[in-house]
Amino acid sequence: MAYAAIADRDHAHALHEPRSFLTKYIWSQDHKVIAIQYTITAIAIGCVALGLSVLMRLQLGFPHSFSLIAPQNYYQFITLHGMIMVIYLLTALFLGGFGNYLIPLMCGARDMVFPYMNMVSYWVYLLAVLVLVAGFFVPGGATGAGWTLYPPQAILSGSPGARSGIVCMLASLAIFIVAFTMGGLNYVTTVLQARCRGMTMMRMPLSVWGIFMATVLGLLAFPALFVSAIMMTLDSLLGTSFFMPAVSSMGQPLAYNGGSPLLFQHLFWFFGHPEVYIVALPAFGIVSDLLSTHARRHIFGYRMMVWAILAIGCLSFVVWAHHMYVSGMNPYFGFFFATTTLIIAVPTAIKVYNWVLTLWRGDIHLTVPMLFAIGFIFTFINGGLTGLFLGNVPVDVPLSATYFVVAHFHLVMGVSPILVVFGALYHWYPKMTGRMLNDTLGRIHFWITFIGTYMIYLPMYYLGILGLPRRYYAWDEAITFIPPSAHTMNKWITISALFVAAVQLVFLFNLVWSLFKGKPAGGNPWRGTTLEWQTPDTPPKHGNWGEKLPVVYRWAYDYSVPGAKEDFIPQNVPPDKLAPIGHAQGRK
Amino acid sequence: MNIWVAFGALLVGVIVWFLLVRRFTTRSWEQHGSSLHLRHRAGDVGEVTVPPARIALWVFLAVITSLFGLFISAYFIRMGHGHGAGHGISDWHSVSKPPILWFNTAVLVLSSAAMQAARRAVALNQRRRVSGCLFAGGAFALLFLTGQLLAWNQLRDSGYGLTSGPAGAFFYVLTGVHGLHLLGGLGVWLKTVARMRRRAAELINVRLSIELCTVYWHYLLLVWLVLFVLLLST
Repeated sequence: MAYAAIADRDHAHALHEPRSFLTKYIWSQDHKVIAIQYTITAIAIGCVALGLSVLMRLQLGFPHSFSLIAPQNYYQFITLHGMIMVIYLLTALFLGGFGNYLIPLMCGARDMVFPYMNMVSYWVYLLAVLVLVAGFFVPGGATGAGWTLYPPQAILSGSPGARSGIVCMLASLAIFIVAFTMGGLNYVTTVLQARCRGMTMMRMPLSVWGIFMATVLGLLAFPALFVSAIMMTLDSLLGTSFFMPAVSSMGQPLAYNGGSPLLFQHLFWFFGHPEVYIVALPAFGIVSDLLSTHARRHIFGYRMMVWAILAIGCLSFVVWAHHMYVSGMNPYFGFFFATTTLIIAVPTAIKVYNWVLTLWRGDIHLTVPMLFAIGFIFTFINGGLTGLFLGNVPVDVPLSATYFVVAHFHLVMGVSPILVVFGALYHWYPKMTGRMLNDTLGRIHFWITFIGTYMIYLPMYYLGILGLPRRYYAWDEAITFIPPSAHTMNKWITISALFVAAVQLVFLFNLVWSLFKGKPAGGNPWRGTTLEWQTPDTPPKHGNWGEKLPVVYRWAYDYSVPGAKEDFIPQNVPPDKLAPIGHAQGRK
Repeated sequence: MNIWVAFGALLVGVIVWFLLVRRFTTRSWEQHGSSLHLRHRAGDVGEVTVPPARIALWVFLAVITSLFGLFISAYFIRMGHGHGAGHGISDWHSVSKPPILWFNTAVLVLSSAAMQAARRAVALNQRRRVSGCLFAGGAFALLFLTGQLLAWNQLRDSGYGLTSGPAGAFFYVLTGVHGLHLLGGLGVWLKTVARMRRRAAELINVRLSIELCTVYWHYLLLVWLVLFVLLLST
């Protein structure tokens, strides 16, 4: 078949040129607008989750001082904070936000291959968020089952929101999964089918690789959450006993019989562990591009990075039960899952080495995106290494109910990806808006967030080793093994958390202020090689590339090529344009 | 059984390895090929050989496979649960399967066959036959769904409600989720039929839709056969 890029076939039909304000900004089918819609919604609901974490910390640092935080509220806050941060913020932002924005631009496509489905995906996601928020306002309030929603307590009357709240949560998750599936089919098909000429798979920037693999993981793992959500809804509303064992509530035996709570845990974590990598892989990919661009050096071990992404993706499906060492499952499983868990450290470590080696002898520019990228490496190593502790059954059993786990997963899958989100926003904001984010505010944002993170989570490791139990509303003075110093430390953590939360307002201010007053960015402020920086307009217009699609001649990392005139060669520069320095290309 | 799963996984892994290894050993940083070079290289991404919708359908089938695979593993885990949980007696009691399921299965096979015939007729450019077969395919699918609802009624009437026990509950859930997927397929079918009815419509315009509907129909037939065997045997 003759060459015809998908985006160029049937051009007028495929692109749906917007005609009014409504079709341009609201019911838009342009991937860039949808990406920004996803980003704004995710950040908005993320602010709710941030607020909830502040309330929780106030309670933990200064127990009994705030009458508005009753025990049941505390559990609602825990539940909603966890679920929002993991799914509605990070998953939606990385895949719906960055995936939507970067895949067509980095692959040299005009749009996603199914723009209409892409639009529907966003609106269904918004519906999921609204249903989730509606949970706060139904009788009994939001669910307080903990973000893992374990039965039986999730639907027993002792838990907050056990009647309507949990149903809102499950419905919202099911709707989210529908939205994600629509988006995910788009991302995968676009990466496979709509790359511009010359953009082979092994020339794709690692951001696209990370987002692509995370989407594949999501498409295969989210059904597990869907299955458990359906069955739990039936248990809750219609009285089936999929997960509910024979159980008494408030002294009354209930009609449930014979269900398996462990089955729910298996299903939940079969989704839940890949979910960690659904969040982490896009972060891995994006941070690779940030490091390479801002260190003006090619990524070290590109092929190995791609392999590592694939290996992590595959392995992430066979480690789920390491979340369940204390669940009462067959102890022999523990051996298997501890082994696979430790194996996954190998490709992860390869990635960390490669990031560090990318920096080595690079021309490091400590720009704000670079600060966040380096901050990510620190934080990810810190959180990842404590994962090696928790991956071993005998170490995990005493630690699993303590703050050690809280510190571990926050650093490794909470703070690390969010640092990348910040770095990526500082990096691509100029492309999205045409203006730079304010540098000083960015630096203030980085340093307080970064140092504050450690002031919060390092003490938590210590508290965990001390045996301070997590999930508690308050540690009564009667729990004698907890020394008074632990309470002081909790105050310290809370005050640090307040600072970190407050500085996020600076970031939000920066996002809005720079939109109007930011320094004009030009088309390629970071002198990047990847295609999104080579668009004819900034911000890119509908259809991205003007008349002709770009053609790619090289990989995404030609930085500081010896003999080249500039210290970067964009992917779409043909070799004959480099004729005077042609002799230098045979390097490596 | 586990050893076979492991063996199968290994086999799949080896195949995937062979498929991918050539592509992943590309030294992307060394190829500054000219445009001429690009034009003639096999497998150049500019070559559009597969319509995106077909790729998307296959990816979606993978998602459905994951969904039903997980339902089926939940089925087995729930079935085995109870043996080791203290009291030693499982609460799993098989339900009597409504005989109408056999009829439904035959109808779904006919539906799939009709869709296949429609697809063949497109290839042979027989417009009237395409309309007829396409219509028959959808009608049989609707008949199947009605039959499934009747099966639900029969099951309820014979004393196996949703709360009668895990086997009954799984019956409703599995058939329900399968039915919903078919219903979604019928939505696309309806759109295709509507496009066929337009006067100016050429067969080429509905060719891909009919092909994808057919693949989806066959796949849902396969899923149903697996579910049917599972339900009959337990």
